[in-house]
Amino acid sequence: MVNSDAQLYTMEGIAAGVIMILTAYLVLGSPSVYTPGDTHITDMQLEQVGADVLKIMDTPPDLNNASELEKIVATNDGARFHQLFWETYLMSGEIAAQKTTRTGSSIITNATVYYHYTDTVTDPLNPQPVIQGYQLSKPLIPYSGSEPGVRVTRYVNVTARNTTDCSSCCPIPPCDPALCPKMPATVEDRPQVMLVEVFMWKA
Amino acid sequence: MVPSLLVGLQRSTAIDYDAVAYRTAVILTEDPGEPSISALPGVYVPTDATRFQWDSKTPSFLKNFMQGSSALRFGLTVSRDSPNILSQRKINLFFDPAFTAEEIRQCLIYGEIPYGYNITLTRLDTQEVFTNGTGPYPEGRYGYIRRYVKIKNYTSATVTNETHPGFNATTQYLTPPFDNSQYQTFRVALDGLWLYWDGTGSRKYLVSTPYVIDPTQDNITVNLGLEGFLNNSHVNPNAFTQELPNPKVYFDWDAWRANCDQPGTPPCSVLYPQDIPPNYATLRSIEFRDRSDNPIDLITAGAKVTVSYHDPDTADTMLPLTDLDPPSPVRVGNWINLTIGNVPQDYMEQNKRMDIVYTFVEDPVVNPGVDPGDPADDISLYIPRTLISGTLRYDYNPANVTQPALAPGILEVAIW
Repeated sequence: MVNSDAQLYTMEGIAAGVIMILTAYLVLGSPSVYTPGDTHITDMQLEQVGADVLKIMDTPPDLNNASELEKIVATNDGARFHQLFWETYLMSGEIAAQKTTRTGSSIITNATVYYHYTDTVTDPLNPQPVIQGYQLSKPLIPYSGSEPGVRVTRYVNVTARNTTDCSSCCPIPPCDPALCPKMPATVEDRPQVMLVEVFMWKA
Repeated sequence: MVPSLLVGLQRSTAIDYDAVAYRTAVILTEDPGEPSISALPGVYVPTDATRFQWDSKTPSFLKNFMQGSSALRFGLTVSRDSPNILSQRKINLFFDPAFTAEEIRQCLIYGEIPYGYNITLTRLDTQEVFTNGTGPYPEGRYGYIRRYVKIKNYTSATVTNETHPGFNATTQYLTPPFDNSQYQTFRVALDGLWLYWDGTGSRKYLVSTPYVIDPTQDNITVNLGLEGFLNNSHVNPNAFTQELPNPKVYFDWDAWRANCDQPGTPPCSVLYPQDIPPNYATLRSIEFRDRSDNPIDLITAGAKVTVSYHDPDTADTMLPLTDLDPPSPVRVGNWINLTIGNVPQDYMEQNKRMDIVYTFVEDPVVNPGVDPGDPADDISLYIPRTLISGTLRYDYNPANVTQPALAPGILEVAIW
């Protein structure tokens, strides 16, 4: 008996074959688009800028003076830190790429100082080394977390604490020590290395 | 299906301009350049055709050097161990308009693509802007990096009677026992022992490169202000007719003249028919000498020396350094400004010393005597006009040398 039943089987078979080939083609032929991490470039540029600013703040101006950053940490002068780091250097009005630079929108910074002291209070018989941090300069607006931030650090060699020459709280010496911002009581009064950490993010 | 075939093609034509900008900025701010003599300051390193300090040459020399496929790289730092501290001399040379865009690409940016670029250095203390580029920032996409740097400034010494009264030699020449020497000399000493070592001569440690006063790398300037050192009072008229203990001692002519027409004495016009005008001090030469006082020919050795003579009445003139004959006149209110650059290592290293010697000669004053036409009765006096003597030590003492602080700056590189 000749009828059209076999044709259906053939067409089904061919259709199945075409679907399989099509699937295979789709799977093998679909392109994988690798986009470079564009945001990483912005982060890298910001991190480079932050590291550079800390570096030049920590370079003494001449043979007879300490660096600005050391003076700032020694006097705990957060206002001066913000004025130098953010106003004078980071957001300088002198940069050439004014209009089209990515840092045209404001960058917010938060500076913290980490130091090391020996805890003889908790267990007087067993003094423990402790690392503690305190805020050097507050951010203009709190960190919202919507933009990734970058972190730059620098070790600063602080030879001596200075409670009297805080330049932003006392422009005309002699200074009243009561006006100068206080370091935490646990900071030891000795030459030491302190870590300045600046966290930067886009507003 | 067809567009997906082209996706891969599109991505490969995008150039990472940011990476090129970053690399260029690293070369500018963290590399001393090539060729360079990487040694401690003040240590002698033999040089040859391919080993020298690139910023000690002129732009035309460097352009030739580039042609010969020798490696030249524009790095601006003072030395390899001082990243982010830039040398003033290298900045001046790099931003010289003599270099073409092609040469900058060949020696700084690298790669076969003819990038457009804009390199700008802004000094934050003086707001001076140095630019080297193919054009202004483009409207479209460009790669960018910003670096912060500190610029090492040149030092200078300013000597006047107010700042250095110790060099005033009035006592030496005008009070007994009178110094009768014909020349008055003033020296500025540049000694490697106290320039490269810690400044005290004790040789305990070397001064670090961002702060060292290194005449082979930086310019040295000496400004000598002569007011206060000059002896411009008039000759004692009695010096010509009387035997004075020292004819060089004199007093104020005008004050004497006010009293000379006294009853019983001949009038001034008879006694002194010739008004002796106030003559001026005279600079004879400016020389360079080494530790054993042998003369050094700095110009032939390749150094750059400029001396300008500032007279308040006329424009600054450039003085030649040769033995000035007749001696160059020097007046009150005058400054002699000397700048030396590019001193070769042969004359300035840790154990060497170089002195700048200013020689002033006496002022010959001739009184024609009773008979103006007869030279036999002429009386000549030699008056020391520049009463200066001593040696200024060019060192790290702020009282002697002005050492400007490192100046902050911003270097921006844009590539497109």
